[in-house]
Amino acid sequence: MAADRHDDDRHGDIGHGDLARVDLSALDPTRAEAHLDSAVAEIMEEARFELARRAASTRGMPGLPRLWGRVVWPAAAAIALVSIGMLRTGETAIAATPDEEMALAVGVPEALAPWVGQTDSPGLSEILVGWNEEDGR
Amino acid sequence: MDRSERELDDAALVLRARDGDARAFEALVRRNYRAAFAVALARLEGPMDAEDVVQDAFVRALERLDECDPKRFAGWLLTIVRNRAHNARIYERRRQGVDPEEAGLSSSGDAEGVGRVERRELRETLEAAIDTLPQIQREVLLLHDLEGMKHAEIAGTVGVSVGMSRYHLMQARRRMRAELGAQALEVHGHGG
Repeated sequence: MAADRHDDDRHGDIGHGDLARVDLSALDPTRAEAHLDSAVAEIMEEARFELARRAASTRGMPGLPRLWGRVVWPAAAAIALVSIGMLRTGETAIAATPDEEMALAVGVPEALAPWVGQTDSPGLSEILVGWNEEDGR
Repeated sequence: MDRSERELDDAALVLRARDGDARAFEALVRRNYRAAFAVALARLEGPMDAEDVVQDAFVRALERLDECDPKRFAGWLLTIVRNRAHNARIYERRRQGVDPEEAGLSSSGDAEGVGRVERRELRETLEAAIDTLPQIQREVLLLHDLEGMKHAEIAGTVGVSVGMSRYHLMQARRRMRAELGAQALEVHGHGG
């Protein structure tokens, strides 16, 4: 490419000797195709994460529903747990439905369901353990 | 790179690369590699350092691709290369100041074939001659005689007038001739 683009060398009163192009092809990193391929491959490897990030932000993340589920389900379960507890305290719960079954039916993790029938509430550590166990299933 | 990538211009490739299209980004790298290398080599002491800077500059360019006017990708990229080469040079000077022996290790050679040795010697001769040039002359010479840019493009890239680009090229060639003799100079006819 370089050699055929020097048609703008001729100008003014500069003598021909001064127009002699310096042959720098020995320095050309693109001359050896294998070398260029290797250099490009290194750049593409370095760029892989950024390209993936851009592709994900454009097309949406395939794992997004799962990520959403990891956040929303535990929150919903906690709300359900508190709600059931409040219903039971006010003695307005449906008596025909066992507490644990009802808790499971509304999505409370299995490890936390037994707490519904108790008079005391689970601590933070019990809630976290319950969620993790549910997440591991 | 397939035919579709070759037919697209830089602007279209930039838009696709912004969306994470790896093939478009690779096409941009291949198209602009030599120009980036020429700019880096004008500021650094050897091709290995220049290629490291070029690699780094392409990745940085991708990270900041949203800031680029797609129609002016090449000039924008060369500015990144220039800045990173400048920083690398400062770093290298500091490093050599602290530990010159360690800095010298990078130029040690491996076992090479005869042809490779000759090419390496030629490269080193050229590099040594280019090192004697002022930076602006190095850049103009490399962009013109290595990358094949025209003076109008060089003027826009380097930030000088077309006339000054020609002047710097002429000065650079004279100086190179004085350093190298006729050996590495290639005289072209009036046709180009």
